[in-house]
Amino acid sequence: MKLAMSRDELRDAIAKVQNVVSTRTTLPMLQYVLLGAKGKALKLVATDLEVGIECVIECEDMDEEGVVTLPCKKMHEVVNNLPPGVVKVTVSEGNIVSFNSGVVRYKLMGMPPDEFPKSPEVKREKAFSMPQASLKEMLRKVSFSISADPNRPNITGLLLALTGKQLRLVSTDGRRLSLASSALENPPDGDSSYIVPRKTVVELERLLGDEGNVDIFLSDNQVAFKFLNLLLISNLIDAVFPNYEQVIPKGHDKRVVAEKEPFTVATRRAQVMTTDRYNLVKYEIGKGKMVVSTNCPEVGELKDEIQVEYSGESIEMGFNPQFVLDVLKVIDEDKVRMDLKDAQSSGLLKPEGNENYMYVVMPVRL
Amino acid sequence: MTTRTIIHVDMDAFYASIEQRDNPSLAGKPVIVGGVGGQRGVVSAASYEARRYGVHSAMPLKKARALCPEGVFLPVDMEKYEAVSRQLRSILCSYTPLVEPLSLDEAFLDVTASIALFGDAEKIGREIKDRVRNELNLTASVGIAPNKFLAKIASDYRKPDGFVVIQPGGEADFLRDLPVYKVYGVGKVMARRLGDHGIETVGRLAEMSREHLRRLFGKQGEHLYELSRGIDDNPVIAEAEAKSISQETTFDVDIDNNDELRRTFARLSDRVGARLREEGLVSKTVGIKVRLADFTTMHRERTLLDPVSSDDQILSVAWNLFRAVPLGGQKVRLLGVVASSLEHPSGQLHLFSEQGEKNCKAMRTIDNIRRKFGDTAIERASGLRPTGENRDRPYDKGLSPFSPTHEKEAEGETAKGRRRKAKGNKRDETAKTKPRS
Repeated sequence: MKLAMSRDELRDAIAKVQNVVSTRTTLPMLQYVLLGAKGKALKLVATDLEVGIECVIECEDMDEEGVVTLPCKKMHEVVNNLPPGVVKVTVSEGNIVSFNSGVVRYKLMGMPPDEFPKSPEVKREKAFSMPQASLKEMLRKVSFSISADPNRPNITGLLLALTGKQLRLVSTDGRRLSLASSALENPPDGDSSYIVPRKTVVELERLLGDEGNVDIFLSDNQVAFKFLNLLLISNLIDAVFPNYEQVIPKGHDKRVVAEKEPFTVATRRAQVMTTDRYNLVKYEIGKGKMVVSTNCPEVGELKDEIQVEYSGESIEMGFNPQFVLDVLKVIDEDKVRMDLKDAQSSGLLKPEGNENYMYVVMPVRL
Repeated sequence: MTTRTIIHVDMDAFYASIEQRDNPSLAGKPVIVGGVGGQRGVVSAASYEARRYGVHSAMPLKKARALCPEGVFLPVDMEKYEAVSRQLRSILCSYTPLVEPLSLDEAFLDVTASIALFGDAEKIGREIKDRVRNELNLTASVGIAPNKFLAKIASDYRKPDGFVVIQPGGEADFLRDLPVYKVYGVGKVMARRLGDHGIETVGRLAEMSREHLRRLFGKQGEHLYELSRGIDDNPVIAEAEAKSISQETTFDVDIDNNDELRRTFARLSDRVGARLREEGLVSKTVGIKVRLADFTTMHRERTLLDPVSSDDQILSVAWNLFRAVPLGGQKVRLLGVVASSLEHPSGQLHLFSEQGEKNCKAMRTIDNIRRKFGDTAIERASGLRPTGENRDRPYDKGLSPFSPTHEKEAEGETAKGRRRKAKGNKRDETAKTKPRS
């Protein structure tokens, strides 16, 4: 393999694929990135066997095609430390890869590519396409509440549900649930749903751009996202997602509308006075106002008050303040609407005037 | 520190005595509690008759059987002993709230402040002995001294049925001829090292200077210096809050059948869960202990994002941990489940029913049934022993342990018989609660 390309392109490419590389050391090969040169293109491939990524970049010169693998982290450091401009990449005997740029000469020990896992074929049983920007925005609103609890694998991923002409993304950690939906221009036939692992979701959210479409291919056990110069292929989680529709409250009759900013500030003020053990903020909602308070025996207390639109009977709710802040952070609208019932029942939060997003949060006993 | 008065109460051959009490035909016979058939496990308790044969607790049952072939070997009936222990506890607690249980059958009492109410310590000690005899029909040895260290030595001094008082000022006389290995914390190795320096009695130990002992044994040496003079400032700490809750079991015969292992984990998890709920605690760390046929012992634990107290959640973690344990083709000798990082529940409510209110209610009901009618009154269907041949179970697909199984009772086998059978397969079932330091 012998080629030349811009350092910046190579650097971007390795930065895009490197998060996928396995952190486990059981299979050392998974810490390597595969470089394949063909035609005028260089393809970088990384995988942890659950999720794989391919990134294709144009070369300026291609003298000799070839394949090699390099330790991903080290290669990233090498490329990061090359001077700007064109870098010549040459593979010599024993899988030694030279990176030459001006007077700088790196030689990095590689491995033969034979043991690198083969990329799976993209299965195209179901396909649709949507703007990258809108998928990215949806992911931003739901990815934070994916569970990280390995004991409950069915919620350690994002539910991707195709229902009617809609795409729904749902995540939960058992205490709260986020749901973002979007109408599809060319929805595939038939309803279906899939659980996409958390890691794939996090990478996808990070890598999606603001312009152009993303093509999404689905099958029973695989999902693939094709966008920009990238292909992200992931296994799906083989489990049953909880019945999320059942926990979306209907008929909570106490509707409170609050301005997002003061709501955030008051909650953050209260959070200062909570601890891991005592993680509870009290919201007392009365006519036109909401008193936000906390009283942590070990730390101290806070009391704050904000204006809200509310005219029903008084109600007291306790919430984990982080669960409130998380949702306020992803809401772009100025006002949020909260539908409540009583201190033991969930709260339903929505941005005022946007029906495409909702958040259900369970209270903490007061 | 003002002069304290500490009583140490130690039941005599507790488990074995209870068995003899409940079955008069065993009176005067060597009774060894710890396992049936002498196949497995260790001696949990030996009656004084059995001790004459050289049998002592912690000895492998096999060895006990060799030493005392005519011994009556009985399985551990922890439930029964725990019940008697609770009766004992209530007797002790009627004299002072400062009762520190060391195990089921011994406890320290700080009666310094009780003397004004109940009369002097000797009177309290005698009364405790009498009540143990009259109300429990058992004997206890009692030691009274100015601190815990001496009180424990005193109760041990004239066992069984002993009553020894060490008066303040009498420490040195009492300790002079005591062999060093009787000192709490002096094990075999330390005793030998002391012996190498010609120290065989506490009296000799007391002749050494603090500096000398420190030079020889470091920090432990200083501790020895104080103990040799009968100095011990450790307070009696009333029943500590649990730091961890664990259950373990040694199999009668080594096991490699996944169903059986899973059933065992289910039962251990049920008990750990019940204890957690009884104490009103949740656990953030669930662990397992696995001992293989060759005695390799492995511990695994997982810290959870969401603390748990339900049987199913504990089981799910335990089973997942177990599946990652490299068995190397060996059979399993012992399994244990431990819940630690205990805390009070945060009050955070959950969205889905697995942790929801309904499930909590069901668990409370099961707990109540078990409290009233015993652990075996209500069991998981999967916990019942199959009477036919083993079937493949869908455990590995992560299905609920409550998923229906299709076991039939063998003809003519009564529920009671089955219960006995289920119980008979496990030995040395032990429950532990480590106190919070």
